[in-house]
Amino acid sequence: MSLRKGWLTVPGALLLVTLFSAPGRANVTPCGTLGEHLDGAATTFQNSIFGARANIGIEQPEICGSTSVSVIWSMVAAGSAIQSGTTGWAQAGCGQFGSQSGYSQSGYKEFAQFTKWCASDGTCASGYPVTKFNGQPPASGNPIASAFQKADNAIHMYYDQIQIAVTDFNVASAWNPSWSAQFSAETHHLGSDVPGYSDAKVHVTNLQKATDNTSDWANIQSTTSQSPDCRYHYQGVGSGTDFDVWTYPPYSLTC
Amino acid sequence: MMARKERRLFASGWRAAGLGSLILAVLVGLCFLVAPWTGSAAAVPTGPIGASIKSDLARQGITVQDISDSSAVGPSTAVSAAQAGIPLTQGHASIASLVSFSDAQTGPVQSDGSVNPTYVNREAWAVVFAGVPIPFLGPAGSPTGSYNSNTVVFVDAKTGDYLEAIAIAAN
Repeated sequence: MSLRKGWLTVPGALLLVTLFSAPGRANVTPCGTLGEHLDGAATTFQNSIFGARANIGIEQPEICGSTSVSVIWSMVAAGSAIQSGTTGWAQAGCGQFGSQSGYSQSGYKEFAQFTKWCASDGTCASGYPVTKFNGQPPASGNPIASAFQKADNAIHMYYDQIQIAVTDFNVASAWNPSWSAQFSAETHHLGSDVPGYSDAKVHVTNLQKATDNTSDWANIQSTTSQSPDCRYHYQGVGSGTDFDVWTYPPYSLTC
Repeated sequence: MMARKERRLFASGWRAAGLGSLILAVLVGLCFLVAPWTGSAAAVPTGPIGASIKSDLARQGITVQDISDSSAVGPSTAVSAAQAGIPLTQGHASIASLVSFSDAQTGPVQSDGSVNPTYVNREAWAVVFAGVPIPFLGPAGSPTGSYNSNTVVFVDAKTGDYLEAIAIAAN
């Protein structure tokens, strides 16, 4: 009898450990739809935008497999590039790039990505995009992620006071004027979580735009939120443009 | 009577052998669970870094120079560290080059706005992975899916630690 009780206790304990070791955190397997899944906000395209920056909270996301990603970033995006029918962008942030297994995986990195131009079908300028990976983000805090044009007519990308990358082309000639400042979490598959959970939402605060190429910054007064997919959530905070993002529910692709 | 005893002894011997095999199998299985196979123990190709990769890196402010150093960690250690650093590279062909590299673009921002490069003449393994798909992370309406890249992961030659990586489109 005591043996039977012992056997009953083992799976019970395992269940309790599973339930309480990482509350609300669980990616979905299989990964589901491959695509661009955004959860954030963007300004309209304006001639007076030369860059974007914001404080972004830290939360390492779970992803659904070794080829998926989950990131959060600040970005400056050109509505059109000189190459007809294309766009350009430069961004900096942090995220999970593939994983080995389990929680707190390797592959959690600060990063920057930029392109001279890409068309929606995936055709890009030769040698672009470029993605640069730095080390692991800090364990906590609200570091600034930024991407903005400087006097050298390149866009410089920073995360937590570290310059990660610089465009190797003149953006003033490669991109048409009228850019947008964007701030978003993003996944590659619906089965991956965006950074942030219902018990640990990621705060995106102090949204600003560079108003020229001399590093003058101004608060962003209004943004439009993207409509996130069902597992992902966006909520404005206060009366400004600050917002939270998070994933819930964690266990299903259907909501 | 004697024959029955021998049969019993023979049978118990087989049972012991069977139990031993079972225990061995479980132990071997546990070893794989504790240290999953990463596929990196095979001989790793090494050689000078390719001219086109060198040129692509230079365009992004990274200069590399081939070196030799018998005290460096082995190339298989470097490949394992590179795959752990950027797991998207797992399963892709690699070649490791022992280099001294500098990155003029990456580093902490100083009070005057300048950058103090983190890596200057750093001895490292440059592990080049071919054909690594890297997701497009652009704005709404930009391409979905991934671009095909040559991904270079730099691993400290003395410690075997991941340092940084860059994925340049191979289009």
